[in-house]
Amino acid sequence: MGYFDVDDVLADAVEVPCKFQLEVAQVGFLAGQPGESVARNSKLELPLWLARILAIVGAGDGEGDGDGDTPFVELLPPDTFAARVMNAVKADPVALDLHAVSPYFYALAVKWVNLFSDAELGETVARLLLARAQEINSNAANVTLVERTLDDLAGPLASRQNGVHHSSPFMLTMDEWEKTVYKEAHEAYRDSKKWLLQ
Amino acid sequence: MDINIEDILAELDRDSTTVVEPWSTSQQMRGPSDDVSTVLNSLPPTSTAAAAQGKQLGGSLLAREDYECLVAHWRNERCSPEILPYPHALMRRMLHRVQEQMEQLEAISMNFMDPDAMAAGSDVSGPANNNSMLPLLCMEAELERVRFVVRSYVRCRFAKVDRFSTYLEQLHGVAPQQFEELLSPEEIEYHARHFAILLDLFNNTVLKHMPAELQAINDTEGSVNMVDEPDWNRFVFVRVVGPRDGKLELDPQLITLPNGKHCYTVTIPELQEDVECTIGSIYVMRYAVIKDLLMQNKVELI
Amino acid sequence: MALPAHLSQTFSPEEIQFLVENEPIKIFPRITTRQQVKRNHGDDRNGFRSTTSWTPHRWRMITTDEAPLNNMVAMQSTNVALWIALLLKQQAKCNIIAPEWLTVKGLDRSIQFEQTYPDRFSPLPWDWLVLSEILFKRASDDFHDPVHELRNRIQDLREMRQVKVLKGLKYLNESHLQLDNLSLLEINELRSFIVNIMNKLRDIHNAFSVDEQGESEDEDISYGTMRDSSTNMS
Repeated sequence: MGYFDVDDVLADAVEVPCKFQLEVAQVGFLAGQPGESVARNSKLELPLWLARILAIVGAGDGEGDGDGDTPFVELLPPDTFAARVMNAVKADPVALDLHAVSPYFYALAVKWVNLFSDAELGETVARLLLARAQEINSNAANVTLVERTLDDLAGPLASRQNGVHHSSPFMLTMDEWEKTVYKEAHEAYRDSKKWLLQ
Repeated sequence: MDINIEDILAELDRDSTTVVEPWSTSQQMRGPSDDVSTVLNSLPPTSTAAAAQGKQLGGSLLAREDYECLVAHWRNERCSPEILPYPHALMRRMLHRVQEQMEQLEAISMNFMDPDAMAAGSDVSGPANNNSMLPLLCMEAELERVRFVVRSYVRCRFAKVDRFSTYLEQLHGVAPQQFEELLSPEEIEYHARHFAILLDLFNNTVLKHMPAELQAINDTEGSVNMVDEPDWNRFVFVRVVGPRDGKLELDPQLITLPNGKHCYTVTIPELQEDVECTIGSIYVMRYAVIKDLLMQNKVELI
Repeated sequence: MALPAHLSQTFSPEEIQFLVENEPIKIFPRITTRQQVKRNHGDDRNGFRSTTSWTPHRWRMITTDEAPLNNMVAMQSTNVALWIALLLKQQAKCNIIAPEWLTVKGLDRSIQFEQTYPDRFSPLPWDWLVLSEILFKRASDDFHDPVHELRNRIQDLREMRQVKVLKGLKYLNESHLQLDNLSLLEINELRSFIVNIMNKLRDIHNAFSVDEQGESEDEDISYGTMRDSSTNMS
């Protein structure tokens, strides 16, 4: 978290579908048509940081961006949170390829839940996280003696990639944040085990 | 109580090296076995009066108390998301003792090389000569241990000064007195120079090429606060220890539960939830929720 | 210069060992340091220690009570910090007495507790795992019980407790957790995992609940952890 958090910046750059509620001149470059205007009801994919602003500010009869204004765009639910995905989340959270859904799933989910105060989505994501957390932990706790010897033989390069080479299928489905959770947990387990076996 | 004259003599011997403070009188009366807690309890850990006399504090009970206090500061600092107030007096005493001990060890090493001094020391019907290096070995090892804690503690604080430099600079402007109590004079100097260098770097590489209105590095008005603050609500592991003096009945914040246990009640505002923190128990809690208890030394981070 | 990032907010096992080494332990010294003849040490009566009067076999410590060290009598038990005990042991100057819980009988009692209460941890000391490991390595000849039997029981305890930890992790939440009797090394290897997951659950929860409770709280304490995306844009 924080202003300089790269993953957070990348999560903000994820494109989400938007429907223009007004005709806006001169912004055709957003649709690959520089100089043109974008027509009302056009659907475009815009990065979240831009879409978020355009969904809040708008133009209308009143002055400024008062309550009576129509926002420039309406945010449409992205594929990340489509019903199809949510059903898979509820059915078997651990089997889900979360990285394929979005590499920044949780970051995006928090932003989305925050935008719409969507408690239901929030609860679903929390349940997903808790279920997958158990799987992350049991993978992270998997520090084997074999791995140690391999590392010792292969030198520092291999030990830096620790854990990657004995990956289970689940680990390929982790989103970016889950990967950092896994990595930190694994290092803690590894350090304890190394100390106990030294 | 079984009083051994040898113990009392040993106590007197040791105390002759310290200024006799009110508490050390009672300590001599009680003998060495049960006095520790009494002394610890009656003495605030960072008493300013004691600090003022830092030069004269050689008593090993106070030294032990100070060391335990330093280790607690080290542990809390390592686990807390924010930079904690610097224990000015405690660190002065600690560093003074390290300095004194180093001089002592140096003098001892000289003595070892001086045959006369060795002969003078051997009139004691004490341990054989081959044991005489043992205390020296211990004292050197101990010095290394103190150095380790001090170094690790200082490094941990430097890491936070680095990480929160813009935040600290902001604090410096808003609450200069709080800022000065928070950091040691060395840390303040380090922060000032580090911040100046950082600002130079930002300016020379990026900011001076930007329009004036985009040059701020401390804009708190935008959608994301530029000033990286400690995560006040980060979860921490905390052990509830209760009031330092052990006088449970005198702590107005303590509540006695039906099962005879004592607890503090804390509130998690975001969840509008109260939690009872029982003395002796370990919790994972949001830092902001237990910060007040931490500042009063009623809980410790682990 | 500053502390490396991987050590912030946690400890290395070696640092935990350091903390454990500060704890007192009972020893039987094999040497006598108590002086039979009382003599004036020539200490400056103004409160300063005179460095010249020090005799080589006197302890003068700055982190621990030096009286027990200066009053050791061979084969009379005394308490010293573990690191001193280990140093004396290394020099064959003492035997270390294992605490009562670290005997076959004591460990069997803890194992019994772990079996009886499936959702509680037995009240072992906070350093049980580290202390037992240190003593097995450095003072194995001082145990009355066969060390391999102690080792097996420690291993059993560790595994039984790990199973309970795994069960407990299903109850991570955005509020708080109580983890009584978990030792420091056990906490340390779970720390980053538990903190990461609970922080994220907190973020998710805040994202949909903070608005309903008004903004003031949000500004008070979770400033910097929350992203307010709907204001300040004009």
